[in-house]
Amino acid sequence: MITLVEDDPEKAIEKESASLLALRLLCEAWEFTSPNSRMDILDSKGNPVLTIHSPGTEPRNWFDPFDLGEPSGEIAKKIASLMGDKPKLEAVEKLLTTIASFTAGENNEERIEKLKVCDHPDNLVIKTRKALTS
Amino acid sequence: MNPAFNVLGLILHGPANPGTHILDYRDKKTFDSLWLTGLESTTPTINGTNLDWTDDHQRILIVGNEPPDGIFGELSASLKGISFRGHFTATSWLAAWKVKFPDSKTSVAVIDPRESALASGAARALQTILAARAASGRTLVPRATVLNAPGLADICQWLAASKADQRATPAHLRELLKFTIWSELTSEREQHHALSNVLGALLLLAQVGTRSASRGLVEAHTARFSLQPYLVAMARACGITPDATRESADSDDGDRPPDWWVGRDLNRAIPGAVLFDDMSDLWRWFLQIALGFCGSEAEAKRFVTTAPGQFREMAGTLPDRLDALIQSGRERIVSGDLVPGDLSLQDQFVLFLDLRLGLGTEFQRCLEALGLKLLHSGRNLPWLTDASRAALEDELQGGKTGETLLPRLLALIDPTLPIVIFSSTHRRELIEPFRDYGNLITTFRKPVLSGMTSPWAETVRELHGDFVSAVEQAAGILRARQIFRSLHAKAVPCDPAGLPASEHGWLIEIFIDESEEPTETQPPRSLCAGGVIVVRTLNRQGLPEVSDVQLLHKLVERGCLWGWCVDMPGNFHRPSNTPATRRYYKKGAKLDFSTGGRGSQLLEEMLGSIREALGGKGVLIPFAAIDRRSRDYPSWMEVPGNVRWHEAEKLLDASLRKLVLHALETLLFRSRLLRSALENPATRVAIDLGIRDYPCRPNPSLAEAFGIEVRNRGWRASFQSEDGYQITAETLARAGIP
Repeated sequence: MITLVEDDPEKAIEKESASLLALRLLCEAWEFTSPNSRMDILDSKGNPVLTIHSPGTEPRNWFDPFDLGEPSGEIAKKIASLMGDKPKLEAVEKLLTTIASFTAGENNEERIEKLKVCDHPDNLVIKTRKALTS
Repeated sequence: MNPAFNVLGLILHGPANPGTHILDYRDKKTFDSLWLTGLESTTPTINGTNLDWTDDHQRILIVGNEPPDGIFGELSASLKGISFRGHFTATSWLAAWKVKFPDSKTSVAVIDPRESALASGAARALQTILAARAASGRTLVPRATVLNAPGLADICQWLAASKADQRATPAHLRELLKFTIWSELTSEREQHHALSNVLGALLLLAQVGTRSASRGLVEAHTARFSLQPYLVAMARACGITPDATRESADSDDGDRPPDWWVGRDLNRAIPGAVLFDDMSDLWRWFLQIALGFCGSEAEAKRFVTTAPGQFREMAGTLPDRLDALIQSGRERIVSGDLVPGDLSLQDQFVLFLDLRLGLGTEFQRCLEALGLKLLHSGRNLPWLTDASRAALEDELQGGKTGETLLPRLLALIDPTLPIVIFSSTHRRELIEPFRDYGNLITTFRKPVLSGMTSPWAETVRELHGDFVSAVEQAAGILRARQIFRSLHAKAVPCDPAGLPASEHGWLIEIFIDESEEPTETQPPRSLCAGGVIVVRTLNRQGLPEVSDVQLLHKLVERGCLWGWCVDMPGNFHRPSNTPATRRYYKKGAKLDFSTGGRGSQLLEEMLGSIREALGGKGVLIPFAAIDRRSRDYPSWMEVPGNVRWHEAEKLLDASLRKLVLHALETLLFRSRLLRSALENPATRVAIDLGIRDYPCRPNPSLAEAFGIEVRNRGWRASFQSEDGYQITAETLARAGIP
């Protein structure tokens, strides 16, 4: 009996795209809501129609969606490897490595400070979002 | 793992977003329930979440577009090379859902992580429609869209806007989506392995097989074709409802079990069936149930085909097995020749043969070599005339044969094996070469579902009618096959040594008539075609050495003349055949074949007197082909209410005509004595077919329903002279007698 294995290149493309989209949405949610943890979207009459939650600076919020393991530099590399081209890969690795380095004793301000980029107005999240959008 | 789904869950979670549901299309349970429940019910439960398609506060984000990996399980070899995943994207589901529930107030968006340019096939076509924007900036299709690699702002904007979207879905958009789904499913229909070629099998199986008797078979099938339920769900969403039409088809034949496509009588008339098809693992289930070969182990054994995945290996060696058959001189194909190792059906079966077997050029070369051997084997090849034999030889030598060669060779090797061409091709050039082959049946074609210009119910009704007609024809050929066997074993093996010597050929006269038990007798009832063959030597002038007058005188001398003919001397008494005095001359009084009657004795005396008159210059052979009529008329025949049941088939005399034809062909093909006489070019053949020159009460309305003009509204003849010409001409043409 012949048993065929599904082998569809589109599946691989979608997997890669889903990872990229996921990380971009995390960055966008962070950016939209910043400096708060959530944001209400209002209709023309001022009534809330939607609420967006931010991943904040909690490492699990950034790592768990990929289901590859506990936040760490190694897992950051694994997630980054799903992003396709080199500039995206490098930006994601840098962001996630930084987030993985957050310790339990730090407060939110300390963590946001770590995300800042020297000599640049954007922080690592915004830089990564831009890299993923390009 | 679908990270985009997980992230959207994180971002949009909580009671602040009531009515917003995020579904992971890459999750098997979600996929399953979307297709199997979400397209059936307005209040489906999708992977544990209760949804309501009438809820205008409900917004659904389906994340992911490709079906889950491995959702279709282990695929059958029949599906090899078919790109079917593209037909079951989330975009396809959304389109099918919108077709099924155009008035749903719920809003649904597919979040496709890929850029739109990466989609292909059905997904791309549907995506173009669903992602399109109207002049107002809103989605073209109300409350349904596909967002490709969207930003969070795009998603939020759609969620906000869709809540306010109260537009009705225009009918033309629904039709456009439906047309696009269907045309993508059925495109490339002439390609061997296209979804359209398997779609018919999967839908027809849904048509026949959900009842208890066939459920086991269907479950065995769906275990291997997990694609089917999704395909049927999609077809249903598009308005193709196999079950409903099956119900209506059920009502037209009380004798037919609900699952079957043939009645019980026809089922009994077919001892078995062999399916020879590279997609046999796909088609066998429909065919097996349609023929009624299901419900018990014994019934299932009446159906034989290759084991899944073994077709190519078994079919590849078919030319060798047929070659061995020809070399051995065996006359009939048995089931084991087609499916090695299976001898259960012996030679009593109908072969369902696909045309496009995809066995390659090497197989074709082997068939061509086999064909040349067959032509020079000395075997009787009844379907070939001198011209067509020469044409076939040229074709074989030139290597220009195609898909029609295998059916033709099988038909030539075994001319009484009923072969139903079981193919989806509608191409005339593939069917035309079968015209002269009497045992190739081209009535039924596997459905090719293209534009669906006619409703599904009508398509099924036509397929059903064609299927029954094909099986009826096959049953007729099988009956003849059985008769041939019987005749071959008993009457036919006339030793050519019994042929009196002649330098100037022989006159072969076949006197044949038909008879049947009274039509008022409930079927089954016997019917018969029989008579005598008189073979007389010819003299130099081409006249019989024993003349007609000598034969007549001998019959008169022995008191064995009960009728009248045009050549009868004038002083012979002519019977009065008028409506008022319907009888044969003296026959009624003397030829009494009931128990204790003298009919048999008189018949023996009559035959003896002819033999005596012939002496050493002729030979007399009595013959009879006897069959039983299982019902008054075939199940496919629609009989008007004012027609009496026993008149319907009788009017056409189809069975009797076939029986006469079969008897004649058996004699001319199989009798070595007659074949030996026919080898002399001076030999002449005359066929005398008994006609009813007496009145029978006609039924003009039935006759006219079949386009038969009743000239004299008072009376009709059954076998008329034109029937005689037709039968004779057909027989002689088939027998290759000039």
